[in-house]
Amino acid sequence: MSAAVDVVVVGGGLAGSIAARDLARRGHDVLLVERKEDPGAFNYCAEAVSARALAETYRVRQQEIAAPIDGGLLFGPAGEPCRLRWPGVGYILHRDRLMRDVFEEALEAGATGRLGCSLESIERDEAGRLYGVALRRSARRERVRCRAVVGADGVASMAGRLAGIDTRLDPAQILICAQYRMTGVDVQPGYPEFWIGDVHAPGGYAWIFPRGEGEANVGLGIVATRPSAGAETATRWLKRFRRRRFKSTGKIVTYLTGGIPTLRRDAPTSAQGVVLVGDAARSADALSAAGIAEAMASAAAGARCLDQGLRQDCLDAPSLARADADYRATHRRLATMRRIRGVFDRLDDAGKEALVTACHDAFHDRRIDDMDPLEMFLSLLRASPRLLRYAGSLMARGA
Amino acid sequence: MKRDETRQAVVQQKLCRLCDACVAVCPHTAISIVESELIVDLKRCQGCGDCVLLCPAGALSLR
Repeated sequence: MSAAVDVVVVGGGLAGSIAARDLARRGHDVLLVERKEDPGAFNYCAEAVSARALAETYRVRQQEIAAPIDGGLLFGPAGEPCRLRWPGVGYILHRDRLMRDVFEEALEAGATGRLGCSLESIERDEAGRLYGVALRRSARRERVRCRAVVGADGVASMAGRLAGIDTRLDPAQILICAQYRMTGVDVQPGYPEFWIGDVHAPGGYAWIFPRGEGEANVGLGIVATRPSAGAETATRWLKRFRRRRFKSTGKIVTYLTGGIPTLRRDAPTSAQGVVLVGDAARSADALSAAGIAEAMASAAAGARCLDQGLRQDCLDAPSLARADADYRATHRRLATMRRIRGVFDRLDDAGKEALVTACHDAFHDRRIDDMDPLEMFLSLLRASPRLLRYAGSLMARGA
Repeated sequence: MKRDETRQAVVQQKLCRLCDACVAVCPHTAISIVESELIVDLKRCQGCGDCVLLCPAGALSLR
């Protein structure tokens, strides 16, 4: 005999837990399944989040915050920093604690959690209507009847794949990352570092997020298909960056890798009865690769849309695609970041150096709380004739 | 990377961090994670090498 619920949420990470929580709060019967045994276990994350963006979907607790972020240090290829100030802009999180707490919040809202359990198939009737899923836990297989599935299972969404949604990514559209958690490093509390330039991280950037008491997340993301990446792994680039920044000081305590989908636009995010959210729906922002609050907001939009679909019995693919459209319409910053990334991608290291120099001239040690990122970027292009000429000549060449 | 039908992707489990990057890009959906292990389906793998190029940990190679 099989169990029956309204919705099965696949993936108990941040997006899945928020979707399950919000659907349960709206009165739906929800089963939340996670393939890992511990909802706090995660593969990869720099753990930084914007305070304002996180507050959209979640009230953060003190125990989930490792350190505050009050600005940032931007380094160009030559390594001269520009300091930007933005007191209270965000936090470095204890991501493991946040994940356990958000999962718990979903259960408190009434969702049923199932750990160590993965999705094996999505079942449809002859008319193509979804009526259930098959789940697997170790050797045991279980069928669950349901009306809809939320795919919150990350960059390589199995739910999407089983639903027939093409979730494959072009290798040029994924930021390939490696990160160390280090202790005993000399970093400035409150000021994460961003190192741009192919010399540091081809097609991407390197970062350092101070977690307090000499601890930091030190990592980078590259576009592996760039010729400048030299067919070397992200981990090799990270080793090189670590030596450049810290010499032989500091100790590595953990090592993580991952891929962030950052460029794909108009990715399909739904099928009959299935809606993808979070990384599965490519919710991250294209420039900063911010993913935590974005995945949660995308999940909240998914839950809103699915709630309506369930009530009106309107679960066709176009109706559920509105979840992603709604998320993008209410987060215009995503489109802005994509546009900036488009220009940024055209700059070689001389151009990136000019960008950081212009940034230094315009904003060094200034507060940037109320500046719009696109406005800032355009004013940099205008303020630096060299940069403008540079970007212009690239455009003219059609680079 | 050049397609090589005589070779296929092989994973070194001890280097793999189970991060899903290769699973996401494989054009033939030949890679999956089953019970905390990365599995290459040799019936599907066409030896294109995208996963080898992308793997952040250097855990994949063509053989």
